[in-house]
Amino acid sequence: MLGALTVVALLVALAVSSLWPWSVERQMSAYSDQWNDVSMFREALVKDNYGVEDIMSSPTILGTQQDWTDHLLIIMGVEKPYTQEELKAIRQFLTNGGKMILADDKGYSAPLLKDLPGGVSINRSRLYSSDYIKNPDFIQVTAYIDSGPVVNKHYELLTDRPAAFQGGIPGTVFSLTDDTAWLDANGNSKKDPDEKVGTYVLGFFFNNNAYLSDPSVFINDMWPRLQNSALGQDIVRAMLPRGGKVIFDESRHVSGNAAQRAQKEVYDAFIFVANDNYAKGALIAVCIIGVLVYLRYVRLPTDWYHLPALDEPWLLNYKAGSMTASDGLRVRLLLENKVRVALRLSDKEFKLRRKAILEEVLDDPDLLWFLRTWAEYKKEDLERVLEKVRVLEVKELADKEGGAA
Amino acid sequence: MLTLKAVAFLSAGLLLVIVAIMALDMQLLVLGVVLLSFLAASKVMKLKVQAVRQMDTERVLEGERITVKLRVRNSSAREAFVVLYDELPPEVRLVKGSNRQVLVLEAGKRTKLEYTIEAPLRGHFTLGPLKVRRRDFFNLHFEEEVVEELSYFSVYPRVPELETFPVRSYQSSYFELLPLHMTGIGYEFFCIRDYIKGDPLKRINWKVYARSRELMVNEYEKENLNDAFILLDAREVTKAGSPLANPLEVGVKLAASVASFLLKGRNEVGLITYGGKENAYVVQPAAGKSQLDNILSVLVGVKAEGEEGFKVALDKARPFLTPRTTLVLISPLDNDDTIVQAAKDVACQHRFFVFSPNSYEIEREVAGAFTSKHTMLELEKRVLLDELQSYGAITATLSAGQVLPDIALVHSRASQLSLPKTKGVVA
Repeated sequence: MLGALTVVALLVALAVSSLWPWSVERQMSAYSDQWNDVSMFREALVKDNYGVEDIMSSPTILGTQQDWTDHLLIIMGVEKPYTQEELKAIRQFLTNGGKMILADDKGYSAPLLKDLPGGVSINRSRLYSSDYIKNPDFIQVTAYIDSGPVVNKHYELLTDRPAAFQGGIPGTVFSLTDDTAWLDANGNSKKDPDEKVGTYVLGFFFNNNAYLSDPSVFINDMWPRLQNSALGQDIVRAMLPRGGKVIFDESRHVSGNAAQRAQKEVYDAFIFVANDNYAKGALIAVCIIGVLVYLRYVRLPTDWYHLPALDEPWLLNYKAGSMTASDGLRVRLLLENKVRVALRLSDKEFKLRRKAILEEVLDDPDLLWFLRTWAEYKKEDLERVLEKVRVLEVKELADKEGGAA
Repeated sequence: MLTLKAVAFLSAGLLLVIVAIMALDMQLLVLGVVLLSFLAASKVMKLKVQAVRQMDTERVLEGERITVKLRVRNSSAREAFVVLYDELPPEVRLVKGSNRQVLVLEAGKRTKLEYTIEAPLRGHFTLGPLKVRRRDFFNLHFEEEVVEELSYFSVYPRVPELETFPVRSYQSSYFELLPLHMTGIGYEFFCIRDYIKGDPLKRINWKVYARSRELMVNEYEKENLNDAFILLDAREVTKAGSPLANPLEVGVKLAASVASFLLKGRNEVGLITYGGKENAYVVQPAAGKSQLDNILSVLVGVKAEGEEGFKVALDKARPFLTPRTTLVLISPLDNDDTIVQAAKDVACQHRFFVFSPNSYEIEREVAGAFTSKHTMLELEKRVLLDELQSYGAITATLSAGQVLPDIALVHSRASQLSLPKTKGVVA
């Protein structure tokens, strides 16, 4: 029993743990205070009186609501590609009034960038610049916001190994490097002649959405540096001037250790099944068939008790029921047999003189009528005749020896 | 195996999982998984329970009681929550204690259980198997096991005593005479005794009188040769009525009484039961107490089965029949097409008794209904009995509740047989 309880406790713990996001260590998580998480950003938003929510399962839930006005979806550090259903739900969210900050440096959000005109994409090569602080990893960039309540504000930002956009940038650029930046295309950490030096875009607004090529300005380690936190808060303020709710998409982060990854895999499998109609149908069919098959063969415990069967009737003749018209022949045979046996005649002897014998020994007109008439007798007639047969006293034959003749 | 509660858990768990998937709700999914996890986890290891059954007797008479003792031991290392059930045949009643017990047995502990049954119906029966049902802590799974095999007991019919029976004795010098080692009419000298008024003068031993001047008479050893064969109808129709009251039960008791009476008179008695393959027993004619045991053993086990008629039984009996063998047929005579012809054959060669339990009356008492059709059936049987009687059979009907025939009537009918038969009766 102890073993059983332990197994149950483990299963329950595993199941319940999946409900609490703080039990999981993830990169870029709004609910973890590691150096590479964004909990300080979340806390700042809470202080600014924004409602903060998160999506643990899948962005598909964004497709369930019709009006997302004053809602801001923050997608940071996308470490896993979105499914088509999820992309559809995000697009629906944006169509239904929602706004989005997409800060991705891995390139998994490419389908969302492809929706934009100009062919913008993220170049995943490392960005270098001569404008760095202490370490070439920490590149200083500038930003400028003039939107809504945020009026004409400039920012100096510190980034950690950022990426940059490439291609035609739609909308309004709000974050740039200086003109000494270059992308290390071959990854040799050196400036090669074919690696173009210039200004690279790290953020732009388009259709009320903000796109950043690098989320590092928001991580806890970088948040207090330069004006990173001011930019973070002002972007949100600019996008939600009337206040509202901020939704962190936590579903795209890959967990650190094996247990967390396993948990995430289960989670993802659930999301996959939930979003794929074929998988959903198959699972439901399997469940239903499983239950039906089980119920077909299940044997529930029967009650054990002793039931004596000493008074159960077993009826033979009483199944016969009442007399019917078809019993006429049987009554006739009964009458003839009674007469024959009473007169001690064999079958042969009786058959030879049947008519004469019956007329001689029977003087009841009812019985004689019954014997003479071959008809469908009524039940009442048969019962009357039967009663007469029952009480019949057979007279002796006048000529006893005649039977043998 | 799962209990009803477990099936409810399973259904609820699966339903929650399905709803969680449909509604994309992780919390419902977790709840469903938790419910299902109980099912998986509650499978427990097997327990070891041992039991031994003891009965105070294995042979009883109808209506007597048997006390059964069960010794149960939990030989596993854990406490056992078990339900014990000692299966009883439906033909017995539980009069004291219970054959079902719910026990919580500590590891290694023993306990005793006792119950008493009453066996109102003859037969060979089995007690058991003793079954154990174990449940897990959550009462989600159960396991059943047989821990004690069957025990056997036999219930013998109560034999009503028959005071007299009109069986012919043959006092003759035929070579097959059987000395009975008791005084009676015979030809071999047995002993002498004092004269009693009324003794025939020809039996006075004049030589002894001459010596002693006292009247003494010779006693001769009684000699007899009287094979009797009892034919008991055990066709399926003989169970009409109820298990306790039916033509077969009446027939068994009557057969036992007749056999007992005849064997006490040092006659040789045989028995044939007929009906089907399973209940066709033949006990060859023999004398003595052991023969009564043989006959009773067969009568205890005979069951109503099959449709083979009287003629089949008669054919089986023929090798054992001598011209003087008395045949005793005990049958309700229902639905037997062979009876008239076979009876006609034997009634002229043997003294032939036909005792017929009134199956209609027995059934009527059980069913509580009677229609004109049953009047017709009863009349048919009465005519049949009259016909058998006209062939020379000595017939008697046994009413419901009656086990022994009206012996005075039987004697009277037997004595009428000495009258010359009407011409044409025997074809």
